[in-house]
Amino acid sequence: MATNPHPVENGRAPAGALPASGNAPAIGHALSVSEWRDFWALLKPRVMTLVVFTAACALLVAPGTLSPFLSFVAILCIAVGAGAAAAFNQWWEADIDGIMKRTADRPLPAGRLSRDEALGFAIILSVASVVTLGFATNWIAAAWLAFSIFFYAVVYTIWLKPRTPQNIVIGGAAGAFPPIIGWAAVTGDVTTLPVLLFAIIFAWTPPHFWALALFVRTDYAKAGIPMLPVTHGITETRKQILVYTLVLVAVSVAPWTLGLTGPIYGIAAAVLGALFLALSVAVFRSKSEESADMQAEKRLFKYSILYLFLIFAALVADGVAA
Amino acid sequence: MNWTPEEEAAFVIRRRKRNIVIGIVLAAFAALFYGITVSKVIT
Repeated sequence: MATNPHPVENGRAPAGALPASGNAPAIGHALSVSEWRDFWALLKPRVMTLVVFTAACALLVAPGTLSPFLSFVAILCIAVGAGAAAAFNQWWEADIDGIMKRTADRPLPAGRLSRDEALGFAIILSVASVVTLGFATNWIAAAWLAFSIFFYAVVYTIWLKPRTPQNIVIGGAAGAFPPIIGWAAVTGDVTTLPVLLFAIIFAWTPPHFWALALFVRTDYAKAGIPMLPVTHGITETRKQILVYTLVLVAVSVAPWTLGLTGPIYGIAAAVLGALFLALSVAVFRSKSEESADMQAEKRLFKYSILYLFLIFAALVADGVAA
Repeated sequence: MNWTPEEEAAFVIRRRKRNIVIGIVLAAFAALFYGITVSKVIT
């Protein structure tokens, strides 16, 4: 039996265990089309769509004007900044990603890119996105973008994720910054509504990720990541999903009850929230122990993605109608 | 490192492609900043 030359201790391989330059980057580091695709994959483009959408919605409903070109640049910078944070994440977690089936084919664990390449890429994109956003809009928005990259790369990825089962709760804040940045890009300020939009994504993140974590918990356990289903069990996770869903429903209708949005948003938030709550109750009542049987969790996970798109779309529709 | 002629030829082709891509990215970046400047001046 072959011996693993890079033993993993507590979910993390020793420093230097992964090759400095992967196995594929070809002769002299000249890059092929497939390697450019790998750089693109480092940005986690699917996650980026949600970031772009929520930032764009905030930018559209913010009071004030920003030219279409500068709005496009602002969205581009927010997307690139989010991609840079994702590249930092994959640079740090390359060894853990290699253990989990869901992430084993990412460019770093698969050896198609080196860690050094990923780090350099992440740094260049971070600096470029922050500086460009600052020049294009204002330095308040740029500071929020810089802070969000730092928060995701350092506070969440390096500090919290490997240490606490509450990693998703606090780390979720990193994904909640785009509406604040989008709003600040237009107004140069952050007021109550963008803070509530932040709070909606913040409260949405735990039920969204814990629903996923329930049916891939064996992967997380194998990688030594202290996700809630691994550390506190399935029943406690289902209870926490329900608790955070209640918080989410309350926060999501707050913009309407506070008079910051109109009835289009308010009714949409109430209906979408009620559906979210119904699916969370189904998860809470579920007795499934096997990942393959966790239909309620899979339904909630899929719906949670749709929910976020719809609630922000309702916000824009409300703004247009007003 | 000793390369075969085929390896060297492949390297030259890929290096040229990479340089073209970097050139395009830098040109796009310059155009982006030009556009930002023009937009802000007009605003």
